[in-house]
Amino acid sequence: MMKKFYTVNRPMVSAEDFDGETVVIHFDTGNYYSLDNFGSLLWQAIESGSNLGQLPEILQNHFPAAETAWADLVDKVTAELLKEDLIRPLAEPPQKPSKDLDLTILGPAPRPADLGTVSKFDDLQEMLLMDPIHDIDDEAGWPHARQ
Amino acid sequence: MTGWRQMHHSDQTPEGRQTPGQTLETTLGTTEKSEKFFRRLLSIWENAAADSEEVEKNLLLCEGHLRLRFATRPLARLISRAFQHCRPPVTPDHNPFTIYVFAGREKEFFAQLPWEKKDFAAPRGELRSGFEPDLLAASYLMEIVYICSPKRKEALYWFRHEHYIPYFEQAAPCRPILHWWLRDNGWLMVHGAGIGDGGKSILLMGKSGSGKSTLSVAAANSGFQFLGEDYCAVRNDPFPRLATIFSTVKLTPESCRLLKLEPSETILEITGKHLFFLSDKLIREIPDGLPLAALVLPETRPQEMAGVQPLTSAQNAIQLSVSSLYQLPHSGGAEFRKLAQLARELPGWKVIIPTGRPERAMPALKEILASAPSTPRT
Repeated sequence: MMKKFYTVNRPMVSAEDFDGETVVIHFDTGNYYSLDNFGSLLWQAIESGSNLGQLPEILQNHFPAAETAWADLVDKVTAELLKEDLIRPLAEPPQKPSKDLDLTILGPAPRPADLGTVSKFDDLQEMLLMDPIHDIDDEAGWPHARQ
Repeated sequence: MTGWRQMHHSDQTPEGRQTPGQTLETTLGTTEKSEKFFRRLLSIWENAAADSEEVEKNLLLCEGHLRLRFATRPLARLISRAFQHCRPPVTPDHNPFTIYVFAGREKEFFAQLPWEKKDFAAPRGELRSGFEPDLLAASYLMEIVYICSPKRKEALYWFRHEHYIPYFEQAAPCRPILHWWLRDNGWLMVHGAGIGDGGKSILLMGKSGSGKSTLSVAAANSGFQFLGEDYCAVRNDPFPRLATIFSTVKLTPESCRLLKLEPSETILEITGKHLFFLSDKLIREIPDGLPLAALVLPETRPQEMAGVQPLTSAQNAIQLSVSSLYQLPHSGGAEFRKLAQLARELPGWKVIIPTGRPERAMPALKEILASAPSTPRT
């Protein structure tokens, strides 16, 4: 079985769970995200140091969907989290005690095709940047705008 | 060039960025290095105060004793107006948190700083010293610099120009420093407006342009207590509470017309907002904090009637946390965790306001407050 371990990209990334929806903030890029219940489960697995390579089998044992469908979903969401610089891969398993995943957040009969939405918001990016008002003339300083 | 700058070029980090820790004597520990760095800058304030007429103000702000020591009278006048609602502490702290405020002496000041010009354009104005958390620093470009030593309970607040203080800084002075100080005292600064009624308060949240300012002033005009227009302080211990930080309001000319306000003092900026300082009457009515009953997200739409929709706790968290944390240097997961807890515990509502008719939202705001429990959670 493939070993796939990841960790959250702290300290620039922080996340909180709200009844199966996870809000993730990236303090360096100014983007923030909402993960659906599957994304929340995946995040839970990453935070607990689980091997994501085992997740499709675990899901297939609990829910009526092909393991390949779950594997594709895990890969898809993981790839998105990596692309957004929210997580990074680990060469070795993290040194932490394993925790059981709360699969109930997926509901009684989840379908992989309906899951895995990672919503990205960049409307507050400019707030993170340093010149909210105007460009300042380098020599004259404020309140002289650059010509 | 001072010894500081000369060492800068010969002692680079792998990233090419110098930190104070690499320029001060290597035999000193981190705390000692940060102390030495802070004292060097404080001596500039001391020289500035010695050359002028120092003004000291002692304020009770969010239940803490804050001391402002201004090197000059003009700075005291421009900066302290935002704190007119603060009384002197009845029982002064023998060692209050002290902010030393000064301006000018640019060459002397920047000669002590390890940062390059590009460092002053970092996201959130955050300056990295290598001494965190012993020393926290931020800037507004190269115009304003904030440096805080939490252990010393002191901070430096420097301006490039004494007479050209940006209007947003006059409206919310030393915001990063207050954020760090409030955080150490159990409060969190949030981006939001506060209004109160019947012994409870609402935090109006949402990004800039959502209508918080207009709605908070409209509420004050309708008999609500005004607790803040752009930033407020919140805490969740022992129960959710909200307190006023600044007694100022910034409104667009359109909002002024809508609210029938004639600005007695206008500071014309490229954004075109007017800065108001609260009247004595409104200042007298500002309470010493109120239990926080609900979170409200205003939204303006072209419709006749106001409306109310519930928010999920995740939506609460997004609206409450993101715009706050993105504006506050050296904030991150710890603050998000605390705000997330508030977002889970408090009911959240989207209040839809008919365009140009903020007064139509008042019944909804009263109802939200009335329906919130009157006994705080213990």
